[in-house]
Amino acid sequence: MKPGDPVADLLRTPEHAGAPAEGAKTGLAGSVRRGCAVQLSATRQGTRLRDVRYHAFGGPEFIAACEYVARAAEGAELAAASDARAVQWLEALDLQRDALAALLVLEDAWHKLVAAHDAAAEET
Amino acid sequence: MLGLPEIEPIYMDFAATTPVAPEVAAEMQAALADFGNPSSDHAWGAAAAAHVARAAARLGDALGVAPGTLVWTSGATESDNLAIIGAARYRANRGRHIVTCRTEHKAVIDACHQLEREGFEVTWLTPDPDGRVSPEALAEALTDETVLVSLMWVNNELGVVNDIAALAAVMAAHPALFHVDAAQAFGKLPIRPADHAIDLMSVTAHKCYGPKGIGALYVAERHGVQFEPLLFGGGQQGGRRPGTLPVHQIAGFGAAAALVAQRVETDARHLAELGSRLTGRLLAVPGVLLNGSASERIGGIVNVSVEGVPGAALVAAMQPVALATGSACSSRDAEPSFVLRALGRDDVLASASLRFSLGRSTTADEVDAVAGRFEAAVSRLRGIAGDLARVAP
Repeated sequence: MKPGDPVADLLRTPEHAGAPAEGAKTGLAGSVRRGCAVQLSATRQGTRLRDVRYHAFGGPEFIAACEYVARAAEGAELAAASDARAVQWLEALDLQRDALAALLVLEDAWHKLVAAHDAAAEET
Repeated sequence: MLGLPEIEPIYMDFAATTPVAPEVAAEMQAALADFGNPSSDHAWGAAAAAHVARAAARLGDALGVAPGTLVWTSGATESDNLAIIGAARYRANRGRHIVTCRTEHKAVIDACHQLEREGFEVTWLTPDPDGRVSPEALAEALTDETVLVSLMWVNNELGVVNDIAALAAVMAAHPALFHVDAAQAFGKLPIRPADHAIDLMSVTAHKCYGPKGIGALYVAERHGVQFEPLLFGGGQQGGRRPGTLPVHQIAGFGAAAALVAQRVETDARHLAELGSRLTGRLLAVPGVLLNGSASERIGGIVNVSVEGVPGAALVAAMQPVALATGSACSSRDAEPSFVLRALGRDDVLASASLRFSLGRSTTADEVDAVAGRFEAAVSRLRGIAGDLARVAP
């Protein structure tokens, strides 16, 4: 990884890595035994996501992708969040296609997080 | 990386390859000036041939064998192929059974797979949990059909040392040839193939401060120790490995071997001391496991698995420390180490492994800096992983 490489830049300071904030909803996917797992978490403030955090187990590209998704999600409109797709992250981070399997795990966790917030919104 | 402090690059991948020693480079430079073909019958050829003869004498001296028992090759991979495929084909009319171990270098494993394609049967021994082949397991595997056994002296991934004397004692009572891959042993241990019933032994220059692209196969001067060549044309080296000899490479190997002869005991003590220092620091981190025997190992290679940490991310977090995950020769493979799997490690631990390999120039300060980086990287990655091992096993 070289300077200017989006993965290297994201890994330099993975500022969103950490435990869920109080009251956060979570989305969990993957398996440590299979080498790739992530738990995304976020609170909601009005219609926007806040306190986006993640715990990640996987290769450097996967951790970088988690950081990328978390940064993009911070303050984003929940209504637009369901459009996020692994292939977009693959292109944004300039990753090889063999990274797609891990990114699909991240996409799965992302949609579970969004669904958890949607369900909570319906209840209220 | 991962918010960890910047550190200076440190090379800790000497098992993958070593730098060329200055004395070696100087010898190669001198040999390049003598450009003649060593097979030519004139003064230029004689000057080149003198470099080859001196190198053979030096390598022979370092191994305790006669120079005429050495066949120059392009490296340990070719030496292994020549010994295994060449000897098996030569002896195919006596039997078609080979014995080797699952944790051998790929050069041995893939040569054996080639023989399987040619109709040979291969018995793949499983090492004990320490990574060593037991003489009893070897003895059990031998049959009347066995024509060749190939086992390594020092495992390239683990640094574990096989009890070659005991294994050779088993082989002494059997007519099969005994080939030893000593690529990682030469320069790190005093090795004397003639002291054991070793028929064929592979060595290479670039693991002992010589140049890449040159190796040798020791062929014992005993009745029946023969092999079919893999190359044809030219008749050099008695037709056993034809091709114009790369004089400057051979001269470099000879110079590296001379250094080995002078320094092997000193180097072994240096590596044992620093290897012990590094091992102590690494194993003090909770959840760090030493791979392979704790006692029967060379000092310069330390291989650990780390619980709760993804291997590829750990390698990235260790940058700019140069080291290997799994075998250096296949570091780019995403698959968990086949060597660690053979020892019984699960896929997660086999993937989360690092091989630190030290060399002559490694210092105590470098060991401490690398250990500090390791402690910080493991802590950071465990923080990033949180409790996923529990909630998403």
